[in-house]
Amino acid sequence: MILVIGDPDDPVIDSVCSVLSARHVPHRLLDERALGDVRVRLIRHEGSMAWRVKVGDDGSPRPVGAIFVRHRPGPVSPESSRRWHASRRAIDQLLHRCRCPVINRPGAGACNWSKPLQLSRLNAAGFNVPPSLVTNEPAQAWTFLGECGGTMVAKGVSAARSAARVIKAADVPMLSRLGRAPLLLQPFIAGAEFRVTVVGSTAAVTLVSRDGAGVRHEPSTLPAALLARCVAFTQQEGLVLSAFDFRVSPQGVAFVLEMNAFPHITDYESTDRPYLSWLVVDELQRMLDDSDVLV
Amino acid sequence: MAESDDPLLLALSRRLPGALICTERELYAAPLMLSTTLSAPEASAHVAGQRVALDRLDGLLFRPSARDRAARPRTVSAAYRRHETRAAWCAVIGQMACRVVNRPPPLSFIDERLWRVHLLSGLQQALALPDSSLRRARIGGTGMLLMEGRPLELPAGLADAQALLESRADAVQKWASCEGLGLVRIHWHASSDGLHPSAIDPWPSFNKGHEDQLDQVAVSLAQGWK
Repeated sequence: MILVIGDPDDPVIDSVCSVLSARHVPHRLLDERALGDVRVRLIRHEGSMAWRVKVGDDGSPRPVGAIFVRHRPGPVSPESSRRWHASRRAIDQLLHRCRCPVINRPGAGACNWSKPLQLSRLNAAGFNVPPSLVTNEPAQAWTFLGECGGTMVAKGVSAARSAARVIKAADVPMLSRLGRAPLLLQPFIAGAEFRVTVVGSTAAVTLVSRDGAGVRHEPSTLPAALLARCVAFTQQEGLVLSAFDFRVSPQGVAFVLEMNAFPHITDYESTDRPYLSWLVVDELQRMLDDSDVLV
Repeated sequence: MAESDDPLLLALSRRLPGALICTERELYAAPLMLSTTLSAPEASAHVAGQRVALDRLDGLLFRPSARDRAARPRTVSAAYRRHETRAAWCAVIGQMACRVVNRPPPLSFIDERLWRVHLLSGLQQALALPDSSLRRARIGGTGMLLMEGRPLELPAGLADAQALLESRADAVQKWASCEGLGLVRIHWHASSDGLHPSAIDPWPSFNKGHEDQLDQVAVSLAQGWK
């Protein structure tokens, strides 16, 4: 059986569960909206240690062969916060320590939390990384803006959701507020936008086009050596599923902007042909193994 | 970087009179620059009243205070600023070439409890302990200090632990190096199936009664950083 952990209202969880159902793959959803009802214990089972996940009064346990997890950010209501967080911590310990295959284990790909740290690792792995400056000093930012030819992109330093903003010389007021928090600054790279989604040893390329009508996605290709590097870096970070954002300059140089450890894959597939969700389910079925998790 | 009344900071600063000293709050409030625009990364910050090129440092003692780690910012903007500043310093410290005790990985900021679980699992693997040793992490029992993966002293009753660590010395030192752990305290738990590490404290405190340990650690760190 495959265990899916997350919020059923999350489009990714919904899509993976839909594919599992369509393929008649035995699975169970552990609904994180009601996490306070979940208990996790380490028990002795058939002569060895196993993790028992109990949801309410759920009868006899069944072994889990693989787990897909995509956490919801927090509890549904503040009243249930304490129990929710306690259960969430217990589940994360289980996911971190169990032998059962997991997409993705918590803590894997944690360098995404610090973008400059991740960029240094991507650089060391052979990717082309744009010149970058992290600073909370307006004077440094101004100097960098000049080095970038008068246009740069400002992003948050951490993985917290923040919109990247294009900064030009006229944006003085924003830069003068830099003293409040550091920013990650990079030159604006014109060119085609690609997303590479890695699932196991497969890398799927999507071309992202933006125009007045919105954002469009279509399957595409990038050099095989670059895709192999994406797969290798994903494995190096302890991940099975990841997504890389690239900008390919008019000169043909592919600059990596970020690797996401918990990608929103449904943004890059259509509901009538959810090929990234198919890849995730393929991988879950391929990974199925003797389990030390019971639910 | 430590609280001004941290016993290890005080012991170390007596041996390293030229050391720059600041608290975590002062460090995070400092003007900071980390650049990868040149062939080698360049980083600098205003620390203890002066601009410091961070690649010129001989070493860094990084001991965030438990109080600051647990504190919740009062406003959303203060929380955002702390979050972003920690992410920036995580990258700066992660890229420093000098000896750092200890180098905080992203997981230590994201979820410190899970980080401790991760450290304990890694040590169990390095010690080649069987899966049956899985148990809940708990602080307690007897503690042993490890510097760069080597036991610093041998508390009474831990001869078995010493033998276990010596038999897997290379693996334990590799584990400590990979995890950026210059100094940790390992707690051991005795059970019917032997002695097992039960918890790891990556920011070991030195209370009364630990004066000898404290002196030993300060001397060792100071020798490496002079």
